[in-house]
Amino acid sequence: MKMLRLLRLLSKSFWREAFAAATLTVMVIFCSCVLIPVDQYFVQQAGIHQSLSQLDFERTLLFSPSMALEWADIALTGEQYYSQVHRDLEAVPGTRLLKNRILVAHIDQGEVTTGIQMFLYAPEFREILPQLPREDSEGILSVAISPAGAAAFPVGTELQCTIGGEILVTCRVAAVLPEGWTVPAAASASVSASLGSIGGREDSAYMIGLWQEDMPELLWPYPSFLLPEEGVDETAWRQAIEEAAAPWGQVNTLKEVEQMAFRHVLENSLGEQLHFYLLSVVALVSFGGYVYLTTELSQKRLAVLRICGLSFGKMVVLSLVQCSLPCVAALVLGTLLTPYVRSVLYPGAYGGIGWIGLGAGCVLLAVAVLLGLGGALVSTRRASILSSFREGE
Amino acid sequence: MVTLENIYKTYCPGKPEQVQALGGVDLQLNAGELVAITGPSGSGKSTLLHILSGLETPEKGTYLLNGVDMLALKDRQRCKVRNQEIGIILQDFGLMDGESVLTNAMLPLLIRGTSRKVARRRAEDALKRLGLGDVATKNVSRLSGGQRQRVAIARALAQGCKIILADEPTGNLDTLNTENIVTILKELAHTDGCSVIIVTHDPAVAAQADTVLKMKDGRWAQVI
Repeated sequence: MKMLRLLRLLSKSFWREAFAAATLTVMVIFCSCVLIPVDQYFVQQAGIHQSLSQLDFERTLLFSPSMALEWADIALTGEQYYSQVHRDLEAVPGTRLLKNRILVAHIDQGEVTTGIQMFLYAPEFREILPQLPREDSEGILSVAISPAGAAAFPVGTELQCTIGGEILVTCRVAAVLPEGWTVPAAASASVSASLGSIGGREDSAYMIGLWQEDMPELLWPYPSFLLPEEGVDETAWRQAIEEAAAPWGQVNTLKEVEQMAFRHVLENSLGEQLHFYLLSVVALVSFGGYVYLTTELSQKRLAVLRICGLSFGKMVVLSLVQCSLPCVAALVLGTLLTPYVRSVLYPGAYGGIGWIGLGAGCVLLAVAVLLGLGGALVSTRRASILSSFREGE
Repeated sequence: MVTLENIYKTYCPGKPEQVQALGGVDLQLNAGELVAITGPSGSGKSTLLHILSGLETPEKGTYLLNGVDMLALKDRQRCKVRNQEIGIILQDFGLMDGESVLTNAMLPLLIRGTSRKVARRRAEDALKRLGLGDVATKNVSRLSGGQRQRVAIARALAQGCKIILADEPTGNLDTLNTENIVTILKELAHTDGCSVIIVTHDPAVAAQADTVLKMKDGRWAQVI
């Protein structure tokens, strides 16, 4: 309360502070926008960790098929290729193989046919994916549908799905997945150093279901995650898995995939990073300068407070709060406006606030305040307080 | 009440531009005493005032204020003493332009954390005593020099301080206002029992003090 009273004596120019807040708001929004690739990485990573919370990312391996081999003229169909991969990987003692498959199901609704992504998970997935609906005993596949698909296919709807142009599967929508849920394991991904190899957040319509033994061979799931069974010598096991996978692709721990993906994001966002660095310099110079000048302009008022008994420490706090007011306003406005600006300028990017960009904006503002205020207060400390009154305000 | 012993102050020590502002100054000031300090520019008068106000610390010496060793205190504690015991009056008034007379008079009390109601009452009483009751709500920038200086004195009065340090308080005032201000300061010393130190170049002002001390080159040159 006491500080607020004193603060009122320092903050005299509403329009100057409002203008600074507006400028900083634009800067915060820019920060959030230029760091979208990094931000998306962390959003996706958090989603993957949430959906695969049962897995140890340092022990679980991801099999990534060699696309070159897969598509080369090796006279193998996809099913033949993957069945051989299964055979070789499962032959390694102590291996638990989690399999899944991504398909596009076509739903015939009279004259309109709707394509919808379908993720089929082998039964082993049930222990790490409680969202999977139970297997239906009547030969109907229970599926959970994404929020984006729930409007067209609400719970209870039965769907006749054509897969691969001929296979017919009857599905019943049993549940709706949570908003923003991350779909684990894109089985057909190659080592593209993207988190999509582990999973991705789908904003479009999709459904997940449990693969059943009586399904046609063309729907068989592919290998994705490999885990050592309890009591297995993990070093030897990993070496054996690497050797078994070598002819078909490669294996990495989920942690390694994440690290590769982050390097990949950094390498592919050099342009955005350059914008961010330029923005940082502009923010440090302009807002740091603003803080310096504001504090300098307040010197006489601060000197009056000092001769009336305000300590140097409290003077620093007071100046800090005074300079932070536009920052706080900018961060609040930036947080409110960023989702809208991002949805307009970057419609393909994940929505949301962009915490990484906002965090970077916060750090930038904090550094600018400290530099500007530090410079001004050092000169205050050096100068005689009473000399402030001889130089005029 | 105030005791200074062997006070030394050097600016920029160890550098080519080193200046010894005070070289072994002693001072004894009692309650109810009005002391004038005179001397040429650069003689160390303002530095002495800075040290007395606790805004600066000497590198050597003793400073006791009502028995409290001021130099042993931390900045925060010295500021508390300044807030409660020391009123500062400056040639350029040391007021917050753009604020009301009342707000200026309330400042030390607001810093102290006194409730607004009590601070307002004490400030109004002080302003009335100095004949400023009818301008309490006016912007302090609109007052004459004499009135502004009286606001600064009212601030010290409201603060309830026991020591008043005045640095060229009449430097910007005409003869009539100078006489008024000196009369008020004398009254504060002799009636209210405050210890008042006036730094001045004006011999007429110095002549009204109980004791006149002359400084030269950071030392006492003469006691009149």
